[in-house]
Amino acid sequence: MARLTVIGIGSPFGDDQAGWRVAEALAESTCVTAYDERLVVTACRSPAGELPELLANTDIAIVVDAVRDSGAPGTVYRIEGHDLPVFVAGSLSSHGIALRTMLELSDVLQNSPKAMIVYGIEVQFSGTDSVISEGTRRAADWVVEQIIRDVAHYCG
Amino acid sequence: MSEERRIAINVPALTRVEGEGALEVLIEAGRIVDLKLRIYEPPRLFEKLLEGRDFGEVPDMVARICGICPVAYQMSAVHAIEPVLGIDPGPWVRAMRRVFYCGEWIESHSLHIHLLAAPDFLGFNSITEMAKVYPDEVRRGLRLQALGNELIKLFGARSVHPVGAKVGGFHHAPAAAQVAALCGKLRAALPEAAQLVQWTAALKLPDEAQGFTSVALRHPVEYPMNEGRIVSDRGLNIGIDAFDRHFREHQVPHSTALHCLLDGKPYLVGPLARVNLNRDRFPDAVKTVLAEAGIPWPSGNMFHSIVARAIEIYYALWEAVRILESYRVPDSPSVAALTAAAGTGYGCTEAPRGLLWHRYELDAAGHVVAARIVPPTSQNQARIEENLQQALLAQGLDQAQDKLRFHCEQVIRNYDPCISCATHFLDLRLRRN
Repeated sequence: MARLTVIGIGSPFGDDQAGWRVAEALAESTCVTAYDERLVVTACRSPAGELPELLANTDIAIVVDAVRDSGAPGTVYRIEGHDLPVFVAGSLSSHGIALRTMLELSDVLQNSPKAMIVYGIEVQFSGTDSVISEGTRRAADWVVEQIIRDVAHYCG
Repeated sequence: MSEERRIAINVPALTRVEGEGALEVLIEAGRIVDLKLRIYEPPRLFEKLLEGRDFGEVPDMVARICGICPVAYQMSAVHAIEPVLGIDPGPWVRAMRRVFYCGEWIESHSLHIHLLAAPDFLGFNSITEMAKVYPDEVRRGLRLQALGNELIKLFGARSVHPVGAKVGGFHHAPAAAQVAALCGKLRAALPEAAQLVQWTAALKLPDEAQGFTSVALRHPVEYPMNEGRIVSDRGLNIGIDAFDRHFREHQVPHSTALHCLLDGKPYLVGPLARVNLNRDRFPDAVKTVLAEAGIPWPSGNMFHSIVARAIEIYYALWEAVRILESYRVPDSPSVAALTAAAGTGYGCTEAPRGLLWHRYELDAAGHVVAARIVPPTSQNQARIEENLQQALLAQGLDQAQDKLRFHCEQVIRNYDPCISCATHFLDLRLRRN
């Protein structure tokens, strides 16, 4: 039976908390209880921290992170497959090891899950206070709904 | 030769450094006339945010200062506050706090050695390049890192900004079966960690002996983590409440993080300083592994920091196993009743990157009146600049720019600086007239 892990990357600060907000909302939803041990939802601070371990121990990974690209704030990108490495280059990395590096590393070490989806939420700013902008908040809430559908597709 | 050159180098995304900063070097007439490690992200103002908060809120708030070493912030905070309240959490809490800290050392050091530092010494630009040639070594690093995370989760409920610690102890005591299972994994990792020490010692590390002052905690019998006096290899030996009499923070125009000097001079904190000052406190099993590395300690070569981190991983595993082998579930994992009291308390513990000093002033209601936090990277800033000066001169200022730039990056990375958490790049500007 396939194991699915949702990983929200971020921090407690500004719009960078988008990934955490998604993870926290999912963790409180009935989605988690419905699929029991097949579904893990977690928040992650630095891609270099827990990500390798999480990717190595799941069949399907859904990663959510704040990004800065050319889109309007609040834009959501949903990427999977071969487009991943290019897309995640713009992902906000809160530390020296970026999401792209860790995804590539998992690939090199043959630890990658069988399937992976990355949601990128285009953010307006990433300050050091705890205020999340309205656009990012709405986008994060929308991503939660999308992930619930993804989970149903893979685990249902 | 009077040839004049102006060269500007921009590195928009230096990888493998925690935080946001820049390095500016100005070389004129074959001399370094200016060298600044610039930290320019906005001040985080945590000390001010803590004012007015109840003492019980402090551990969870300070855990958010750093995503890599939250345990250190929590431990310095609780050790500062508890004497003000007049409580002693007892031997069980003391031992488990040590285990909690072991987890953070293992996690943080493993990450730095394998993902951040090793590519420099093996000639790779990134960890992914290195993993193609050294997959087993990288896997080893990830395994050890995961083990450290697991240990933090055991007491903290999660490894990112853990929430298990509190003033007076822990919110929860893990079940004996859970501890026994993890203890087995820690024990099984010891041979791998011993190999890691020898592997780091065999790396082709630059041979750059420098004169500097090592500063660390020193405990009467243990390798220091949560307790001890502040000592140096130049004769300093003070209680943690005397920090302010010898260590002075000051602002420099090029950094939003305060610099800290010991009696007016730069100094080193962190794994190399700890090993230099406290290797006699290692148990025999750890001393044997350290001796096999063949490095003469104390070491003045900053690049031996990677070996110091490796031996601390081995020690942290050993120490966690030692403590957890006799684990028992306590009647209560914390002091039952806490009564607010006014006073000033000091906490100083050994974060993975070095001395982390806290001071809290509480009022009679137990609210924070004033807080001061002096993190290790702030303390190492002046030493990094001093090291860069010495390293550039040792390399020779007439070297190619790329070589000088790479060496500067290597020197900075070697400190594992945690400049802060909202970060994107280090930008190196080297001007040579």
